[in-house]
Parts: sequence; structure tokens; C-alpha cells
Amino acid sequence: MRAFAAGDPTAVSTVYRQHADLIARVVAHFGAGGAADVEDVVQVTFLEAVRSASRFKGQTSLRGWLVSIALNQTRMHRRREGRLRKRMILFGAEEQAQSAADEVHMADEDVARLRAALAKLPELQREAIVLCEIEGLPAKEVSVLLGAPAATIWRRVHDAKKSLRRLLSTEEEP
Amino acid sequence: MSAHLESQRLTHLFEGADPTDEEAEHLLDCARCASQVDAEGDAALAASLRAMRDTPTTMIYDRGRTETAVLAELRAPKRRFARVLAVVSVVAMAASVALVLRARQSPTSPASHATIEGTVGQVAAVQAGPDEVVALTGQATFRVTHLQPGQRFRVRAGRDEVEVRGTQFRVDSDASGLIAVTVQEGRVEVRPACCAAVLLGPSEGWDRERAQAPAASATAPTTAPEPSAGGPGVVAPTPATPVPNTGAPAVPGPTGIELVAQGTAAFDAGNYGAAQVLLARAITSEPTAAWARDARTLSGASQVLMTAPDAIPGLSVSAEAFDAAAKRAQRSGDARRATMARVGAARHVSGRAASARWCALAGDPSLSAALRAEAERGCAR
Repeated sequence: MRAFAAGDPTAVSTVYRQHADLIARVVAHFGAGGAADVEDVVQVTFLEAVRSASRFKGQTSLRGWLVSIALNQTRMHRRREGRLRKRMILFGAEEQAQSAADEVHMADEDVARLRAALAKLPELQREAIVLCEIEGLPAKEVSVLLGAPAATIWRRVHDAKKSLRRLLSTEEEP
Repeated sequence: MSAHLESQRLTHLFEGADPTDEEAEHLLDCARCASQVDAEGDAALAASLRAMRDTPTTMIYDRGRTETAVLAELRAPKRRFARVLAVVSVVAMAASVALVLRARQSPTSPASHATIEGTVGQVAAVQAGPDEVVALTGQATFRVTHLQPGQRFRVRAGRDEVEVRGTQFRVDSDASGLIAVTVQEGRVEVRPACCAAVLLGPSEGWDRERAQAPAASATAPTTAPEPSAGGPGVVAPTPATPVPNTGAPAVPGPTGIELVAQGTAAFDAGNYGAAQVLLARAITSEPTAAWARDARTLSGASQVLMTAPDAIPGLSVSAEAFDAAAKRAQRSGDARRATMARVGAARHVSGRAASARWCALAGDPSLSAALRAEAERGCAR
């Protein structure tokens, strides 16, 4: 961890290769946007991790700590992106940019439907279901990450499933 | 993991009882107990959600490129100067945007002998006084007031030049010079660096592509007589559209795909104004063509860049459009177009991913020398 904090390329690469895919999936599921956005947030997440590594005291796993940084960075990115999108609409470039972004993610129809339904969930429910059900992180870790007791996390996951079932069945109706 | 929950307790939970923290922790981690509490259909849903974990991450992001970018960023020295420079650049960009907007709003700026209309791009005064010169990047229509003896008005586009003889004319240009000149009234002398000068009359036009065609380059006069004469040794001007009574044979304009090629070249050269005009013409000419979608993407990006280059704190939404275009081109086996779309994407990622994208392009032998140089600069940033 000391080598990681010092920005040692080998240490950073090792940590990156172990956790980058998880972080990228989490960032994508949290609605960062398309590939460029995911890359940006993943990059910022690891850079931020190196910068603040000295403050990492092992309260959670390294994986959980990286996820918590990714969560914060994604939230910030989405706020910035929201502002940008408003400006893009002014320039009339929104529609085509959006359709292209959709295409990036539309390779698998089922995944795309699920992803679209996930995007409609309230943020707290989405965070809980992504970490618990999609990424399979242990409940204790998610509880620390999201700063809520396990019972609250369970309720969010439960409600998220109910909402997803409703969203997916509504979509299937003609 | 703690011991499984008792079946009676699981029944209560299924019926809606709230779990304790300890029970909730167990339910979240234990698929067997959770399956007895979950509603009908939750098992299938949980399986679909778990399957998302197996989605290839290549669909989400480029792992290697991002790693390279992270390591490069860590190696880079802290650059306070770069930050100062970035602020200065933003201010400069804002100023240039303001200039462009002013050029659009004010029909007489920056020339005094001419009224300038329909500017798409930028017009800048190079030389004032009786021998007036303006530089154009993009497209504009000039209506020139009557010039007194000794007065001149010239438009420069790269190394090419158009000199007015008291008239109204339209000029399309890019970084490499003139693309086309169309005269509405009066007479204009076109002096392209590539080929012979030509004198245009009303409703006549000059087009770079045709001027550079072998048949045209075989003739090389320095001055031209009346264009309608079209005698030996004279570069025949092409009629403008529409063509009223010039007597010259009608020559078809560039096809849609040719306009796309010109638009793409203009975009590559950073002439977003010219690119937008050319691409819009291409789309109008063949709106349902296979390439029209890419042309719209490029046109939209040109418009955004032309209106507010770098003033937008990130253009990653546009980058997505280019990424998608690159994927389409790759699927259809068009390697060149895929590479060009990747160049577009690199230009539109304003964040940290940009340098990684440029680095990936720097060694691409299919890129022109100018683009490779740009890629190397982007990579070094």
C-alpha cells in the first residue's frame, strides 16, 4: 500500500488490474454515461485513490474503498454531465449524441433493458442493488460503503427489485 | 456467514416483517435464505442482475488505454503553468467565440469596403486602407461597394486569393485555401496557389476540384479574358448554381460523398465552419444515403466546436457519437473511416482520457503526417 501511495507504477498497475473491471462496471451501472465517461471516472478514481492512499486505514477492504471513491466521482461526474447536457441541447447536438451513446450500450438487448430499468431507480436503491446483487459485495462491506445499517440496505434492495419487476413488466406489455 | 435463518422466521419475513440488521446481513449474503423471502420472479431477476457482472467490460470501457492514462498522469510532473495556460486558453477561446459571433452579428465587420453576410467561420482584417485584405476561414458572402481608382479589396484563404472588381461574391474555404468561389454580380479574379488565375463574371463559379483536374491544369494562363469567351489557354470558370444565361456548359457540382470527403478534410484541419457547411450540403443532397448519419454526427460536432470550442467543460457526449461511428465503420470494414472517427473521439474527450486516446493514435501509419503530429502533441500533454 505504501508503494501504491507513492505512485509506484508496478503497485498501481497491480491494484488497477485487480479492480478496474469492477470499478468500471460500478461506474457504468451508476449511470456515468458512455465509454469516454466511464474511462474518465475510472481514471480519476485511481488517481484519487493514489492521492488519498495515506488516509486509507483499512476500515473496509481495498476494493470497498475504491468503490466508495468511484461512487463519489460518479456523482460528481453526473452533476457535471447534467450541466453539459443542458448546453448540448442548446447546440442541437443532444439527440444524435444520445442515440450514439445508446448504440454503444445496445449490443445485448436484455442487458440494455435491465440497464435502462436500473437507470430509472432512485439513486439509493440503485447503489444498493448494484453493489449487493450485481457485484455481489458482502452486506457488511456495502453497509460501510453506503453508511447505512444492513436492514436499510436490505430494504433498498428489496424495494429496488420490486421497482425493477414493475418496470420490466410494464415494458413488456404491448 | 452466520447460520441460516429458521423457516418460521423466513415465513414472517416473506409476509412482510422487517429483518434485524443481523438477519438483513445474512439475507443479503445468502442466496438460499433470500430465495425463500423474495417475491415470485425475484430469482430470475437476481440471475439477470448477476449476469450483468459477466458483461464483457470491453463494452464498457478500454481497460488498457485507461491504465496507460492513469500511469501517464502519475508520471507527469505537477504543472501549475499548464493550469495557468489552460485558463488563458479558455479566455482566448471565449474571446475568439465572441469575435466569431460579432462577425456574424455585424455585417460590415471587419472590412470597410465590403458588407459581409452569411459568415460561417471567421473573417479577420489583415490589412486596412485603400488596399484592403481580409482573411477568411470558412464561408462568407461579400458585397463590395464601388471601388475608386487605386482601391483594392482582396480575400485571402490560406495561400489563395480572390480580388474583387466591385461586386458581390461568395467564398468557401478551408485551411488549405479556397474551395469554391461564386459570383453573384460584377467580376472577380481568383488567384489560387495551385493553378491558373481565372476571371469570373456574374453567375459564374470556380471550384478547386475541377480546377485541379488534369483537363483544367493543362491550361495555365495568368490572366483571363472574358470568361464566357473560354478560348484556348483559358481556364474556364464553372457556372454557379442556379445558372442563368452564361452560355457555358453545365457542370455538375460535387456529389454528396465528395462533399463528405471535403467536409471531413475540413474537420481534420480544424475548419469546423467549412466542415459544417460542406457536410450540411452533403446531407441535403442525399439525406437517406448510408453515410448521412456519420455526416450528421460530424456536422453536429463541427457546429458545437465552432460555436463554443473548449468553452464546454468536456465534450464527452460528442465523443460517444464518434466512438459509435468508429464502431460502425469497424464493423463495415472501413478502417480509414474508423481511424478518422477515433481521431474525432480523441478531439472530443476533454478529460484525462484524451491523452490516452491520442497516444493510441500516434503510431497509426494510416494517419496523415499532420494528424500524427497532432496525435503526438495530444499524447505528450
